Amino acid sequence: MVEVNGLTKIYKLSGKQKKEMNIKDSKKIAVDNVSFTANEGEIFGLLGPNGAGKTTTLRVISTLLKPTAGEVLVEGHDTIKEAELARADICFLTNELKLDPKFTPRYLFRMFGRLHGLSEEVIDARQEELFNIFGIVDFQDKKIEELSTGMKQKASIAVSLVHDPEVVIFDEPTNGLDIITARAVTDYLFELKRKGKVVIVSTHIMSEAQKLCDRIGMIIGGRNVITGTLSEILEATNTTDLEDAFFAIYRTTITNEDELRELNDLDKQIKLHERTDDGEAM
Amino acid sequence: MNTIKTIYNKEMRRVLFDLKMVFGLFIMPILMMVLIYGIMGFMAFTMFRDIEEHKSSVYVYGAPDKFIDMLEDSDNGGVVSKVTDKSELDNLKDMVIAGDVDYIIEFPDGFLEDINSYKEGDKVPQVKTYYNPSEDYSESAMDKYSPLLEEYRLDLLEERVGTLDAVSIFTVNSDNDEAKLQDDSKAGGKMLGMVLPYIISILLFAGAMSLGSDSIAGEKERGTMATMLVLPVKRSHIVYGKLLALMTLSAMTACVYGAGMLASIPVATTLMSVNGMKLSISVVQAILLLVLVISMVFVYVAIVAALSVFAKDMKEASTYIMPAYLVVIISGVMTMFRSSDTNLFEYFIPLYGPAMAMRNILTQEITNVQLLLTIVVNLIFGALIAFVITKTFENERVMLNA
Repeated sequence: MVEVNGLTKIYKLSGKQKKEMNIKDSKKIAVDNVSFTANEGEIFGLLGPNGAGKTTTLRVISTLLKPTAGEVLVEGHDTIKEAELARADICFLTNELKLDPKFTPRYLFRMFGRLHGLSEEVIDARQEELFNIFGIVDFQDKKIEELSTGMKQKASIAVSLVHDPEVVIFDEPTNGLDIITARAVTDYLFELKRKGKVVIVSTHIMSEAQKLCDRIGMIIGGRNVITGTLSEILEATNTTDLEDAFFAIYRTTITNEDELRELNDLDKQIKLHERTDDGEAM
Repeated sequence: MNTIKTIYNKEMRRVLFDLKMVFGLFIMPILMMVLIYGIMGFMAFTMFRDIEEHKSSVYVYGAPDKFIDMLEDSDNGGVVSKVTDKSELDNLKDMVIAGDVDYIIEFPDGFLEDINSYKEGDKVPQVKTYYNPSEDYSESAMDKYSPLLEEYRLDLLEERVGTLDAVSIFTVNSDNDEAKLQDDSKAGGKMLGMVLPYIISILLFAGAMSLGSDSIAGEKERGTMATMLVLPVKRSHIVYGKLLALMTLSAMTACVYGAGMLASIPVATTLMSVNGMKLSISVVQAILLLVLVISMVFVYVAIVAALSVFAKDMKEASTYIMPAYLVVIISGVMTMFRSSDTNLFEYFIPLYGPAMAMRNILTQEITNVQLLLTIVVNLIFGALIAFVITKTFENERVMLNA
């Protein structure tokens, strides 16, 4: 189980970063008092637009970042006090974590297995299983730099799962993948759920979240605005699909005038587009 | 322990299984060295031969026939021309400056008469010679022909006083073959001690620099460092594994460069034409150097790694490392101009102390205290930096640019 209690993460910005982001404040609240629980045998989805704080939340859970306030427990281990124990139970897959291009998937798989303290026999068995599931056998001895994006992603997933972790955290797992590889990944997430693992995914693709997740935590502007099953969220927002639900909540939460104006403009364009479509249909 | 070993193996494999890296680190420098020494040797050989084969053009004015005979009988192989018109001399001097004439010997008018009619109190006649020190041919002609004047002077002296023994009073080293009492290997060591600490320091650091920035800043840039940081292993073990591998690889590059340099010593000896110096290193010196070099590698690798940790990418890392590289170069240069009479406190100075110690090993003047102190200082300094790196690995802002 992963418990996130009152998680807040504030970044201190350097002068250069302030300039890049075009803000004056030297602090940026990336995650603001977020709480949720992800249980065994369920896929928990963190949903939100880019820059909402999803990746930061996942990075804190995977112990890469320390929370400014609040706590995160992974299988009962505090991510600060027992970071190594927490890491032993976690698999974290994100675009920013890459495999060394000079090595082959097979070498990396075995190396990471050893670093997880697994015996050679266990590594053999895991390699056999995962390389077959993701179809890595054909390119297991090619260097990562020679692989296609899809192959790289498959290798990354297999390597990150070498130690059969209890908690699987995938940040935008199907981002940039072709439809076949994306399907293989989502199928495997269901398989992990069936095995009783805790699965946390982040995504900004509503349809993916709707299909994949048992429960969803929506994050906007660093705040957890709603958490619940799909039907609970639809009921609370009085909508029929997740995308509408998202925009219904988004409208009530954003305070920035520019963003609100942008949203209204977008609405107008959509309505105009719909009217034209209707006209054409008639 | 297993973690350190796995990380170590990975780092070693990354370099040694990569043909480009192996070529760049180990083969290229040797090729460069062979090429540079080869070209230098060939050019020097051609230059020496050219000077040797050159027929010096010597002009003589007002010389007695006996001296002309001496010039022509000498086996210097030059072309001796007599000048009869004194006004031509100015023109010839210009030609010496231009490098067209190599040597001029000018006797005063009435030279022999003056000598023969000499009375005590008379002015002694003066023979003038002209050469151009910036022209190799001219300098070589001066070396070859000026001793003939001394020979001629002694001839005339003997004619005047009968026997030379009466006037020479005493001789200096006329049959003393042992006048030079230098220890040839120590003299060679002094020569090596001037150059080697500088070259070894620079090569060691350069090796550590390219490897270290790739292993740490390169990993951050490629996004593979974060992959390591989510592993359930101690961050310090990742650091130790990396540092050990970097030390091994840097030491290996240093050995390759060292072997290249030792192999080129015969060439260097010929090139520098160091009289009687023995440019060689004894077994004891080699062992002491090795121990010292290993402790230096530790410090260099630690410095490079520490600076790389703070860099976002390899480009930034090289900017951070450059000042440290300059300090290493300056330390090396400073040892060149430092007398062997050193204070013990100098060995407490990181980077500079080891270069001094290395020089003293080569000149055979190192004391046990100096060597031990240098190594201990190196180890403590390196360990301190390693500790800082380990602590920095815990820092999310530095490691993940968060």
